[in-house]
Amino acid sequence: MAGMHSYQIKQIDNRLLKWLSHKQIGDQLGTVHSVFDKVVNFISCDGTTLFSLAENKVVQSPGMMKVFGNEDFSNMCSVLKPGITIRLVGNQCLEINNWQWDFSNAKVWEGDIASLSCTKPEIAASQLVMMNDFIQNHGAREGIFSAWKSFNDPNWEVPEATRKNIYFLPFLAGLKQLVEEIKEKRLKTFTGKFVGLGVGLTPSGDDFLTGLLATWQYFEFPLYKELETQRATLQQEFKGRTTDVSYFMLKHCLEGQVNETLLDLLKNLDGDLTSQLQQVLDIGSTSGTDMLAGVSVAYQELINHKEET
Amino acid sequence: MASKVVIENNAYHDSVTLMSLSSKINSFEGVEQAVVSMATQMNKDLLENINLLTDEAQEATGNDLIIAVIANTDERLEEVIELIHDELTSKKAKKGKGKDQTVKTVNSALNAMPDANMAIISVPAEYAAREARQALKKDMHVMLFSDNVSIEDEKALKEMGRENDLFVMGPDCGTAIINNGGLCFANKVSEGGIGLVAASGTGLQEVTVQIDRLGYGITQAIGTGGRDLHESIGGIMMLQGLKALENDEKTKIITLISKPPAPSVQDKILKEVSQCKKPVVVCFLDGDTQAVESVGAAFSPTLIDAARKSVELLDPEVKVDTEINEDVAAWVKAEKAKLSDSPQDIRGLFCGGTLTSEALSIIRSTGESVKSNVAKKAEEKIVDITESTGHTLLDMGDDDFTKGNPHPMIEPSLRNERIIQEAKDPKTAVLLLDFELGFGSHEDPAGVTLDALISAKDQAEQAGRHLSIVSYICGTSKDKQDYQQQQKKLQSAGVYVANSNEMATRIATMLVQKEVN
Repeated sequence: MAGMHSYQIKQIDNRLLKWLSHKQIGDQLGTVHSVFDKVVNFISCDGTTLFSLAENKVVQSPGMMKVFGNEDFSNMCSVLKPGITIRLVGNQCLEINNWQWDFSNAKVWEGDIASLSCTKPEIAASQLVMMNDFIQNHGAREGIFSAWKSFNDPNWEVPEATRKNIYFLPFLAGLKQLVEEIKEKRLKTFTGKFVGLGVGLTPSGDDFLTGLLATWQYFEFPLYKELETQRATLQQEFKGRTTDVSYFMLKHCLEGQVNETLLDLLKNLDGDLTSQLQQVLDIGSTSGTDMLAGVSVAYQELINHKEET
Repeated sequence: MASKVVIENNAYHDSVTLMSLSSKINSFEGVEQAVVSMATQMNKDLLENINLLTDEAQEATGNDLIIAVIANTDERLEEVIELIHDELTSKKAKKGKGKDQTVKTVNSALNAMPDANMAIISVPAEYAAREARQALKKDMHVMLFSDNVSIEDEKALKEMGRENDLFVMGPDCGTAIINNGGLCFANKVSEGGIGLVAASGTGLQEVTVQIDRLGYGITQAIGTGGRDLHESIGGIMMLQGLKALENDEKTKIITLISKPPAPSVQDKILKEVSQCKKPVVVCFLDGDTQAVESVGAAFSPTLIDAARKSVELLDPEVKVDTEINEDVAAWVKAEKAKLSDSPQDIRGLFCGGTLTSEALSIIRSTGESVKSNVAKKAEEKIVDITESTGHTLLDMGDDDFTKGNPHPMIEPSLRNERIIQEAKDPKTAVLLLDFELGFGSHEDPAGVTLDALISAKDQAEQAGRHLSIVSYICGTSKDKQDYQQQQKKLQSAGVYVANSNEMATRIATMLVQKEVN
């Protein structure tokens, strides 16, 4: 590969770096899974790892590397197709279709919920009000929003067009089951009501679960601790029930890793949340709103639990 | 009923694309149900509930796309499936993955089309200035649709354009008609002798539409972007547009449109107007009549007046009727009889920003207090955009409303929820709405709003009130959406369709005032 120019990777997820460190030079790491304007996803040869290369502007997420030069990245994306191989070449360098990406000087990103401060923000009803007002005023309407709104405000008269939407009632039913299971002090099958529910690449139900589970995980919600013991079973249940990209987002979440905006929101839940909420909201088209709805529902349950105890 | 399910393997689309498409198709006549979604297990379960889970769909994985439709006839079914394919394919093609040659940079675009002399740039703000600079360096005019470009970048780009005799329309420029081609949001209007320069998107649409309706046409409609007349930019592109139209043989009359410029910029523009060899109409909403007329230009306080004055200058023989006709007066009288005597409010829910500003200016001029999210005066600024108080006019295309959603000109149904909210408020007497037709706009804006309008009226009636709805359709008979059909749809719901935004606003105001003017 002498003479081939290599481009610099700016930032890399810590766990991905560790995974790569176990690979040998020359190893095929996997193949291109899907190509978007700002992100390329790769699936490992054994199908157990999804990792991605993204433009610098994209929100840092588990399994992600971000590049410096957007134009070079964009030029590469225009010729990539699913199935093209990705290899480890030279010293900490990836090769995809004659494009080399060097991660030897990349900044390492730590996305573990466990890495956040042990001193948790105080749970307060006022924070929930702030969060809900923000979602109400700024949230994208296409995903779980209407069900979330109807769930929070049963007197809200649901517009006819929303009622006709085939996703509205299933989302509402999922929210009701979630609350029922909490009342019964045992989380059982509510996740199955959300996984893969919604139209897009990361269905709204999965984004909602990510926000919900991450919040409970961070605040060590007792019922979630029980659920956590069934992590492997849950992962198995999620597999095949949603898109690949979304499955890995949920898998990372169950393993304690979420995107940087969600982490930032969790650790700042005791102050003025506006900028953190806005950062989450900006993810995807409806994903950010759906995640915030998950955080909101989880936070409500944390308040209820605090009051009970 | 006929139904069909189609699977596309490994086809990824984002939620907004799929949701907007499903919502659009579901509103079509003859369509019972349409689902366009990724084939996850949950989505397949939902299909089963509506008896659309075929064997092929059952086999599809979460990485495949399902298109499922129930329609009243086989023909309708095939039409709809084809339309969905077309929409998804065109989205893909726009993203550079279609059959057409696609490019990623200005340079490669120019290699593919060496004779191009204009670049339309719509990329995230952080790259927009760089791409625009590249285009200018290649001697191309620029239409910069992107917003949130810094004012420093805007100034630098416009100075660069001026030095090289090139236009920089924008940033945040939504409308232009160049050599009879509509760019971004624009209406299909006749060619003629009036040239326009505007720092306003729907303002430019409204004036060109009204010129067309009066039976005349335009040469060029140049957009400058909303900030061109700010102090720091200095009206660089409006001045350049004025000069270009002055030198254009086909242009006989020049019309300038904007919200009020910064005083120093106004002086600069009016100085150039005073030296212009062609008649000029200046429509600065809330502008300074005396200052404009002192330089020999005609001043227009409203958009329709700008169209009328432009036409009158072009053809002194023309007679333009500005009076309120008998039909309007009769409708207003009948509606007023149904409205309560207690003070009641106008609630304006607009897709067009300048149409909101024009309505604000007109209502204020009648002595009524009004609140809006486009207001410049502190006392008129709305405190909480989620809650209307008194006469309230909302530009629902503003960033506060569009976050995570398409612009309401693209997806007007996003306004429906607010229509119901306002209808439920006992203080609401009149809903004032606009609908935009033309390139870039929704294919059936009236159709996707109809249910909400009917429901709004019903809910008010059930609460013992009458709700008047006054609307304006900014469009021509040549626009692809079929103006007549749009008008009929609104009228079928008891909505009054005025012939201009100004007239719609005046009617709304008459309805809530004590006396019919």
